[in-house]
Amino acid sequence: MTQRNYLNADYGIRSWLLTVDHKRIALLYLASVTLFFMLGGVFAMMVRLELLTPAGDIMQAETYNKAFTMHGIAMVFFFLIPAIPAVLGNFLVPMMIGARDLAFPRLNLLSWYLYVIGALFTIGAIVSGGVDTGWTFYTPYSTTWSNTNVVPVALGIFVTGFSSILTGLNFIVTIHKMRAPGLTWFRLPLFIWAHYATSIIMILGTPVIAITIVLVALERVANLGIFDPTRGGDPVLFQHFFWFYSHPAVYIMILPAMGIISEVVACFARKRIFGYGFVAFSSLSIALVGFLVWGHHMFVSSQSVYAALVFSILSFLVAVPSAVKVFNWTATLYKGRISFETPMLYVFGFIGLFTIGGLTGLFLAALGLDVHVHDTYFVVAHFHYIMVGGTIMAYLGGLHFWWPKITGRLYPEWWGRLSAGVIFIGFNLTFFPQFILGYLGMPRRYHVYPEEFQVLNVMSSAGASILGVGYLIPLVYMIWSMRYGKPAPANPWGATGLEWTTPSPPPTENFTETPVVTREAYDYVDLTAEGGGIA
Amino acid sequence: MPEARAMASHLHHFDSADQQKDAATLGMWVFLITEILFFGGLFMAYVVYRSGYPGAWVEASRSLDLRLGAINTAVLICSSLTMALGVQAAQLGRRKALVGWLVATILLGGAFLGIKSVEYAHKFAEHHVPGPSFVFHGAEARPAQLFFSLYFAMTGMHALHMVIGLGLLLNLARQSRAGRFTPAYYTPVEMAGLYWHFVDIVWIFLFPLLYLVGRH
Amino acid sequence: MSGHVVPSKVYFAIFATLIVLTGLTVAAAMVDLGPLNTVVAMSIACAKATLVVLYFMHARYGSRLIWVMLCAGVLWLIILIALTMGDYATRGWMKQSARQVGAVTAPRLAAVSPFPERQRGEDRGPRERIDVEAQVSGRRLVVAFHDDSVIGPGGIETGGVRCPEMFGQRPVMRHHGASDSFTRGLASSATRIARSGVARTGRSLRTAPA
Repeated sequence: MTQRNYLNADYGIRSWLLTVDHKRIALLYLASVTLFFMLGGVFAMMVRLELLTPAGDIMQAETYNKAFTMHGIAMVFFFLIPAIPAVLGNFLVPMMIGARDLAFPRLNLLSWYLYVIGALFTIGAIVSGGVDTGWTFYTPYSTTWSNTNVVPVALGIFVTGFSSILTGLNFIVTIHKMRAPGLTWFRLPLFIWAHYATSIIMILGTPVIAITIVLVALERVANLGIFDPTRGGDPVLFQHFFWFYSHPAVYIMILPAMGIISEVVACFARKRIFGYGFVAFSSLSIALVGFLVWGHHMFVSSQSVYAALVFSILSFLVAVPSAVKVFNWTATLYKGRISFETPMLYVFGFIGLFTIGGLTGLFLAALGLDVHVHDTYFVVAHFHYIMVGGTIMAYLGGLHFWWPKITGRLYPEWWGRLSAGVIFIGFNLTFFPQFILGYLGMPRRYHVYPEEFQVLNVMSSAGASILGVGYLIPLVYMIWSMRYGKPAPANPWGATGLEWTTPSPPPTENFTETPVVTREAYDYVDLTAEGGGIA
Repeated sequence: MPEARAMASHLHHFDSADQQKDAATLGMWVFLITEILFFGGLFMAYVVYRSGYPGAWVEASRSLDLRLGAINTAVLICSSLTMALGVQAAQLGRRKALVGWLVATILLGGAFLGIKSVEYAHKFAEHHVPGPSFVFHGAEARPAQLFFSLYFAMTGMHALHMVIGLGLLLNLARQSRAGRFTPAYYTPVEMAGLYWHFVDIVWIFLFPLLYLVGRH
Repeated sequence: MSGHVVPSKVYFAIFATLIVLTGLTVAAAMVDLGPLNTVVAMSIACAKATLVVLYFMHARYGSRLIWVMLCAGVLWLIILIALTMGDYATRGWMKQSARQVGAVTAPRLAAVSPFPERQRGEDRGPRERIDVEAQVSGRRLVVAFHDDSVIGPGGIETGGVRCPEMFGQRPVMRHHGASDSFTRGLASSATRIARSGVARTGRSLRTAPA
């Protein structure tokens, strides 16, 4: 039975490349970010292979520098920042608020094209020699001394940044102006609050990295000397510029993930989210306070100690709203009717791993401790716990949760649970040893290390291979399910939310009539009483 | 008028023309806020280095042509006036006036860019362009290069935005002549107006910061 | 903003005000008001910008949401500038700057490497080197970079162009090592900093006799 839906509404490559349907654009993004995820994974593989042995035997230092740089660039700018907002956000934001599309559908398509253009620049730069500055591009190395393709990569990131800005702009206007009648702010799904907060960060932060990149490019190309110490410039000023965006950028990566967690937790505990208002406001607080802490990346950079103190205190404060969310999710689970479908497994993984990552962030926020572990594997482990153990787990959980809605098919549940387990095990095996390595003093961004660190490094590389397999399995079965999966009903999970009131997959215009909302969010108790449940 | 739109028509995903206009306006303001932060980065670098090298800043600023800068400021303010009057003409359905005001804005913007290029030519001739051939005759020559780096970055970025604005306005003038805008639909004119005024505001800040340091 | 037509009179009045304010700011710049010069100039600029936003951009007749967004944008810019200046303004407060650490009590380390035994195989030759001056004093390692240094046959000499002073200090990088892993921490710090700083790609550091 093939109803008319957004997938079969029109055929041919032009209908996809020239679409203005937010759902199709979401799928275009899905393909692109998955490609970059795999590219980033290849570079990670190079790094972990080299680190199997203490000597620098597989590649030279310069090549290793390029490997970790390009791993970071591909993963941060081309996967983690766009993934959840541009895939799940684009697909779900209009549907969750009862709209037919985002406010600016053509800008939405433009944002995808900007992503692709930026990606092509970067791939071109990678293919023609790569970059070795680290994804952080610190000056004066990136402006004066590096002989690699800094400018093309920087321009690629610049262009992709505008993709981010346009997505954020679209979400803000849509959420303000296109909510269905009766859908007041406090009836919105927390996924929407999360994306709203994320969009604020995208709007306010991304332009600063844009101008930073312009200045670096101008310094390389036109010899302007903003960061050049021989002309009176301060290389540390670059770090202020860079981290003003790149710290909030990590909140761009985690806030949408937290939005997914709220949706999935409520559904699989069959309970409304505990403390909805707190969770909503915590998203906004993270967005705001997240802009005040960037100096914690610069504690040992010759930044003033007094500024460092202020940033340290603020960094402790920014952990509070995240903790509020974790407590609220836990309270939601308490006395809920919990079931362990694949999305829920990813949620459990998220809550545990994000907590570890977040707490180790507090270690790093403490000035004294940071001095010892800065630029070691402790930091690497910390941010991978958040970005991989947090964001990617939530992303996969969300993809599985909304897969039936997006494709009209069910993925194979047991394979889903298996890969969630493999990913969890592989992840911890990869990154937990890195906490220990960092604490023992192994510095990051080195292709050689003292022999006594080898055992832990081998464990980490072994874990990475398991993790890689864990990521490949869903790739296979999800593609498989698009053709051969069981057709999905409109609401396979018995979840609340306007998106579940449409057929799976939805028609192009989402809703034949604009819905009128009378219920609060997550009113699962009512649903259960009416016999709602897993279809 | 073949391209005139019907009275309350709107794109399919909106519920009303009002909602569409509201959304467009909000969207343009959000975009302008991103521009505040974009230029803001340059202002931040300016503040940092001016507070670090006050002497160099005075010397370097004095070497800029105050007359041309002031004239340019007046030119841009005029162009903001003509742009605002253009929007008003669109609101009142006065097609010819709209085209006239848009053309006036374009001419004034062009004049600004012309004067700017004269200034740039002076800077090139005096070897005040940062780089290996930079020469500055002053007590603090080395940090003066920072001033000029920021001068070129800031005014260059501003000029780039003006060029884009001129392109937008040319397109608008063309569409206005063809009768595309009516009192029921003039949103693109208003949006271009917002953008143009923003570019004017950036210059309002650039002028005193670059030209008026230590002039006494 | 839904169609409120502002009368031409208002536009011309605002225009005139803006021109007058421009003249005022030029005039004020010609008078020596000390630190107030900047305050006056910025106040006038803010006043002009406000007039443009309110009347030319119709914010006066627009919705509160636009106002909130605008204030947020300006606030964020202030955050960017204020917190960054918080760093620069307080740098000179630190009593122990690089120059005061000049009297070293510990041996002077020339460029150091964490893995001296590996360095020999990876020498790139004396043609291009990083110039690093690492001074150890108590628990503090101060690494300063110099451009255009001259390399002598016996090791690394420092000299040539020094970085100009700013905020009462030369731009230097500091790293504090822990006492138990002191040597390795210092050494790897110096290498890290040197590599991430002025170092050319892949050039290794030489160990010189302390």
